[in-house]
Amino acid sequence: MKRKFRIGVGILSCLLLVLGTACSDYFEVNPDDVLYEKDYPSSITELYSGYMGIASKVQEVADRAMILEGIRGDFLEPTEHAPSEILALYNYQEDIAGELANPRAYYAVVLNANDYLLHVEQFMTRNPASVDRATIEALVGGALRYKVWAYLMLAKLYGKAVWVDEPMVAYSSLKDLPVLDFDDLIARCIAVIEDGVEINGRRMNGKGKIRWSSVLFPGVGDSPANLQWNRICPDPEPLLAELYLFAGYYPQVVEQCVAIIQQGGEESSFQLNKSEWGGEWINFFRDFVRKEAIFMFTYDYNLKQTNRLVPYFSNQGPNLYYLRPAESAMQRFRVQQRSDGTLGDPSRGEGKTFARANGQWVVNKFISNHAADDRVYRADVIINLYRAADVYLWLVEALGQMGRFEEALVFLNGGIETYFNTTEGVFMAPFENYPTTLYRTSSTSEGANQGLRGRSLLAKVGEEILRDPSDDLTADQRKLDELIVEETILESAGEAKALFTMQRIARRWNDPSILADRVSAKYPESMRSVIRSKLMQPENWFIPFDLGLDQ
Amino acid sequence: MRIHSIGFGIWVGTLLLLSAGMYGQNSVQVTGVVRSPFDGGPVVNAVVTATSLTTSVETDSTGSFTLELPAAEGSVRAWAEGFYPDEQRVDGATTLLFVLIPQSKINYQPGQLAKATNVYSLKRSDLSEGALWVGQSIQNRIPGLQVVNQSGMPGEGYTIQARGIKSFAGTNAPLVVVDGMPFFPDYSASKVIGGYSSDVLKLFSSSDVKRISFLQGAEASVYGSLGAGGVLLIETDDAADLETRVEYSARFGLALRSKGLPVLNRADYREFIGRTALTRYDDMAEVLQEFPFLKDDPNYYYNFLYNNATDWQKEISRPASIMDNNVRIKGGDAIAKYNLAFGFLDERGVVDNTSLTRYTMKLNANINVSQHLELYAHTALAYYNNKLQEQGLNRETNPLLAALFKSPLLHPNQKDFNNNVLPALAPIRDASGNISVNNAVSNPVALVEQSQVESQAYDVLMNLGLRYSVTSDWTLNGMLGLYQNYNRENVFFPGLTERTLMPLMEGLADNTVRLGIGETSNLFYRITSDYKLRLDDVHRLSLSGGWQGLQSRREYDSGSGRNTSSDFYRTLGNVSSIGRLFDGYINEWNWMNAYAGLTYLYKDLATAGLVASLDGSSSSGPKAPRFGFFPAVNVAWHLKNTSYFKPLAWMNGLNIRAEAVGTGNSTFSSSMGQYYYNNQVFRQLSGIVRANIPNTQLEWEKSLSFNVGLDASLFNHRLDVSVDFYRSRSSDVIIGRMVSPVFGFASVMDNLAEIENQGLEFSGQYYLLHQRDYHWVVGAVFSTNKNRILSLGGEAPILQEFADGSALISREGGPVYSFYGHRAQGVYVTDNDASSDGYKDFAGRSFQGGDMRFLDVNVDDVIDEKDRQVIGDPNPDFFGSFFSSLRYRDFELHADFIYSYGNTAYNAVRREGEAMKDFKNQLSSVGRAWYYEGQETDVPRAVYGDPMGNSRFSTRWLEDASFLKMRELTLSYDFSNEFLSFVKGGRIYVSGENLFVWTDYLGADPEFFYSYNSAMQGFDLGKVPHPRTYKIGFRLQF
Repeated sequence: MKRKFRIGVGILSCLLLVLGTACSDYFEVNPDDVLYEKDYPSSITELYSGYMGIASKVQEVADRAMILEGIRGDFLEPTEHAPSEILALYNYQEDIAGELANPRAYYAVVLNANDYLLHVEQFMTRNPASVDRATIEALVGGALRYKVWAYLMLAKLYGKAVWVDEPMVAYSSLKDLPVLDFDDLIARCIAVIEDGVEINGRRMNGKGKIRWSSVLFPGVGDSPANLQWNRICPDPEPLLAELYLFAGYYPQVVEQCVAIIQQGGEESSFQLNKSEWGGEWINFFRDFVRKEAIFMFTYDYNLKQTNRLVPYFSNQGPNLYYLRPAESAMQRFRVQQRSDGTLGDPSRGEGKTFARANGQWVVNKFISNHAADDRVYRADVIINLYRAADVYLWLVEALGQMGRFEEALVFLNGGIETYFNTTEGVFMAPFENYPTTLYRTSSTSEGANQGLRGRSLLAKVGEEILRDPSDDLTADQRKLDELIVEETILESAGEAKALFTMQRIARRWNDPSILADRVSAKYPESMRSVIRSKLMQPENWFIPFDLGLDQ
Repeated sequence: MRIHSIGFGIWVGTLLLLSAGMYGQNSVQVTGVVRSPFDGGPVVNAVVTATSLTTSVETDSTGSFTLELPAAEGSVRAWAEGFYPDEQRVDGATTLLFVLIPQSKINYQPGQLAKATNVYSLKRSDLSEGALWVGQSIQNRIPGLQVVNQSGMPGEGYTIQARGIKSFAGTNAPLVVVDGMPFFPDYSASKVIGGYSSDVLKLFSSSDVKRISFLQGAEASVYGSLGAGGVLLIETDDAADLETRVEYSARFGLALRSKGLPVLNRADYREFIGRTALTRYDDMAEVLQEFPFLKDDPNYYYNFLYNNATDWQKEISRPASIMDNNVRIKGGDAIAKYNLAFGFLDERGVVDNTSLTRYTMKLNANINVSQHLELYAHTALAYYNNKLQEQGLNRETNPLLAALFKSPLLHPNQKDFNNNVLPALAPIRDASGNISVNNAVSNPVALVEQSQVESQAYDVLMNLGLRYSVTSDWTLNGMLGLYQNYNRENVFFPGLTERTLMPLMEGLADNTVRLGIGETSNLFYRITSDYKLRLDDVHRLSLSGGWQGLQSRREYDSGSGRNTSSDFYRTLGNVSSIGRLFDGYINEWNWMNAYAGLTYLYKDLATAGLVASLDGSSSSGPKAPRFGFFPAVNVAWHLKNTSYFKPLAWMNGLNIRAEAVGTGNSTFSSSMGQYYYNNQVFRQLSGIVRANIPNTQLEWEKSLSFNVGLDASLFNHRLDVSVDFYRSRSSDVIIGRMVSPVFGFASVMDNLAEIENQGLEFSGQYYLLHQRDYHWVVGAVFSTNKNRILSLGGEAPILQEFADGSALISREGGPVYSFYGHRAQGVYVTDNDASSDGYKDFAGRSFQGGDMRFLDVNVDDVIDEKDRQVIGDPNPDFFGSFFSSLRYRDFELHADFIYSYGNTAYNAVRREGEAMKDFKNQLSSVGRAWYYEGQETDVPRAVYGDPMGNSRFSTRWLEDASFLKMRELTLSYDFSNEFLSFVKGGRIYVSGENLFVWTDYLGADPEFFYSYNSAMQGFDLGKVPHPRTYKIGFRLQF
């Protein structure tokens, strides 16, 4: 009996020993399709991939403000196919819910940026000498700017946001996190870029840049495809320019705008010159135009990277055709005076920004290249989040606020060609401090800068400000601001710019009618006064989405 | 029979030895009678012996016996040829009554009357002859186990749920244990074949089964966090005999399609188009341009295209053959025994070009290595070749939907101008390559003839074990098991060359290629120890303990693409670079468990048991406790053995049970509780992105159930009844905690919810007639379950919305997965009726006469999604089966019925067929569509595009899907006489399946389950209805 017992126990022990080998790892499965946090980042390559991860989250959310701003602003109206969420947004209802209005995707950018910064620090702590400081500063700077961009969008759309610096490693109450209003958000965003964060004992600001075309394609000459990689993150200059503009730091705006205009010298001086691309303004939205696109995303239908512009705007089945241009918005293009005295915006009006298709008005600007059978379903329109025109509009606005009307109107209208002293190769006053690349680069013809309206072949506006200045500077400033609003509506229709310009300028002049009149004009007669009344209250400008902070 | 003879001989011999020293003491005379249940008649020559004796006696012609016992204690046992042995304690009694149970008794297992936990078993002879599959053979036949045949598509599975839904994140299916090895197949629906979920148990046919048992009581606790859904034990046939036997069984059958759904005929379709087209086009000329068949002139040029009256449902169907052959060889000697079986099955489906071909080989072997050491092995190999068609709401590729919606005016084949039918199938495009508005439905015949939807798979299941008998009472057992499944699915839909099918991928795919490859592997190991301790004649103790582990891995990779250069090229390598998509997943999941059990039996009067397991799985979060403790206790009082009931002749068994069982559910993804990242491709580069807000404290779901039961056998075992009442509470059920958008995610997984299930289970049968040569027995299984969410942990109701607008809601106080939608309240008879309500839709459009009236729940005069409410429960109030078996000598007529009552179904196919929002053919019910002011009807007006949402998800599409179905009717003949000099006996039978269905459900078949996903219960999304099947079969023994 004892012997049998011993044999039994022996067999049992042997089996336990064999089968229980590596028991400590037994429960820690590690499938190949996920990456556990404890294993990340294990190399500089994974740091690059983490950066691309944030970029992919921005790419995912890039179309959202374009649609929301169009619905809430002056440009878009819902078709009969639009779902209830779009109608609620359009009608400025107080109970807004649904996926389109949900700010979650912007916070996902913030989450991934915060998570990335934490892991960069962990990586640097573990591998202090493995990456050069410039690279880390560039990666950190990019992550910070993605985060700031997300908060800027939250500020513009929702008027407030919860500021988060932690990577949300677990569910917890949000009660201790600050809810910042619009102005506080702008101030915090500026501070993040200027002051940055501390990484492994060293402070790194948000201005570090990485030239991805060199990192990804070392030793390969620049090509348009490669250069696109340098536009996947907002450079500090345009981001700061917009933030400073909201904050009212106008000299800094001018400084940043000029810096980005000059950036890259021959590569990408943003000259406001449409001749670079066959003279077609609409090409900015069809393809990568390197002298226009500053911060942009391309999409690849085959890699599941799509956006909603074609489905929402196209009326060719099976697209959804939720939104179309409002009549009042189209009319603005029709009444523009051309430089030859005729009416209608030839570069941006009918057939460009909007068009008639299948008997219906459609937003043509983004989908004009998607009417062919093999493209109509490909929801992969490129999206420019910042382009040269934005910078010039900011520059004009800041110059106006600084009383520099001549410069402002030149950039708004016909460009600075006539101010260039071809003998000495410099600009004359008041443009002597502007880069000469605005006149000519090695790859562009002379007179490269044509002004916002000039390159659209439109007549000059606002010349009376110079010709017959008012005794009251602010009256001329306001006049210029109204011109800026009108020009932004035309130039940036559907690009998530005009409504925010209206908000900024209406706040500046404490006159909500600047926004309310223009936006309410698109509504049917029966709704117009109701919407206008709502918009006369600035608190109604923002999307009232419940963040559920009581959880 | 021979087995019992040998076994009984050994038992008697043992008793003789044990009682050898008892001679010479004062004796007690015990008399008794041994009766059969056949009208209580005597059993003559029954062998009667006692534990205290070395000899036995036989009963006389009256069935009486007399034993001289040393004392009025111990046990007396009676047995006779053709009966199960019976044993009774003497306990001072001087007269005993035995009513033996014949081995022919239906639905009976030895020991059934003294069971101490809730276990229900079916032996091979209790399973129906015609059933090809395990799921089919147990369909609704086990109390508490709801088994639904997903569809009539060959190779599709059975969705099995026990005692209601308990989990959102894990499986609700019971744990399947095959020959002692937990079996973890991939329950996911196919990613490349629409609406298809392979039968995960198709490795086995019902003829391979020795016994199927379902554990819901304390024994399920041995499996810890896998046992919440109960445990389905499948034992395959093994070699029990030393004699070599060869058995050949075969079944041949014919399956016929059900009647189909009524669609508009030629004339009604023209009228429907005439009405609907005018809501789309501005003038009649345009309408006649698009729909030339509306012209009154029968001689117009294209009349030959539209002069048909095609019954498309008939065109894609066929009578289908079924063939199943199995050869089994059993035998061996005292050292080794084996059971080797080969099978070939070819089951054709009633939808043309669908079939399942299966080749199987099984070997079960037992080898006595030494006196104490036994080696056993179970091996099953199978290869399948499945030809399929798409199902579900895939309008372009589901031939059933295409057959419903294709214009009856069109012909399956091309025709020439002289109306001659040509061999080629009719295209959907015109000469310019454009799809005609009046022909925008795939040619159903082309779908079944030209598309390629296939699955090839193999299964390997094997286990190898050692059983070591340390002593006669102590056994050690070790097992190592392996399961491997490889499944390759490929799909090709032509269209480039043939032009007969609607393009896929949003109209871009002239032809489509899909490929999916799945691999599942399980590795299982177990060591157990069982010890039986008989302290004296009064106290018996069983001790058991074990350690077991399971490692599971599932990987699935798929790719799809479009537009190969011609329909001749059908591989992914030939698709265009644009439109290639890839997908896939890997799930790894490990489990380990140690358990101990103790059972105490007191004088056959009462049993008490205790089981406890310590259990861990990889799905627990890294900061959660790794191991869970799952205890269970059970007590049973065997009342028949008490002094009060023992003398009652009409009472043959009475047993009451109570148990409290702790189990759990850890069958959710191992990644769920991890802090991890996914890959999100940015342009062409890999991007690492956060996958979740981690809840690293996520742990298994827990279930605690209480069960009280009663088992009784009365009137000479003619009436058997078993009743159980249970209540289970599942806590820490994982749901998504909805979180603020600030987190960047919609939800965080957490152990938050509590779900209660309670119900009554009944099984019983009664022998209306019971004689040795004939019997008539009727029986029934009845199960109820009331499912209720007790708590969602403070979370809002869980709303699941689907692409077609249908929705499910799970909220506190209600059942899991209730239908959530609008309540339809009839059709506005006039415009005035509509305007008096003054309702508008979300876009401000007013309802008119002929529109549906929907309940304005929030009374804001706007009918929008805020007016949705709970509108139906897909769970049945009760379900089960009943049967009747009439036997005369060697003939038996067996009828088997299944039923389900009170379950609501969403008839999505009818919704498609009554929406009237385009120019597809519709169900004949649209003939009632509102057409003029004042018309009272239940079908709204036909308007192209359905702008008012009359076909929105509402009670209009929910139906009572209760049904009663004659699942099987079998007439069989057993023969034991030898013929042809080598056939020693067997059975021949004819059977019919699904012969009759009684239901008010308007769909093709009230029995369906879209997949293995519990949430899809009640979604009728266009599955193949079950055919009526006629089979003839035989089983021959050589």
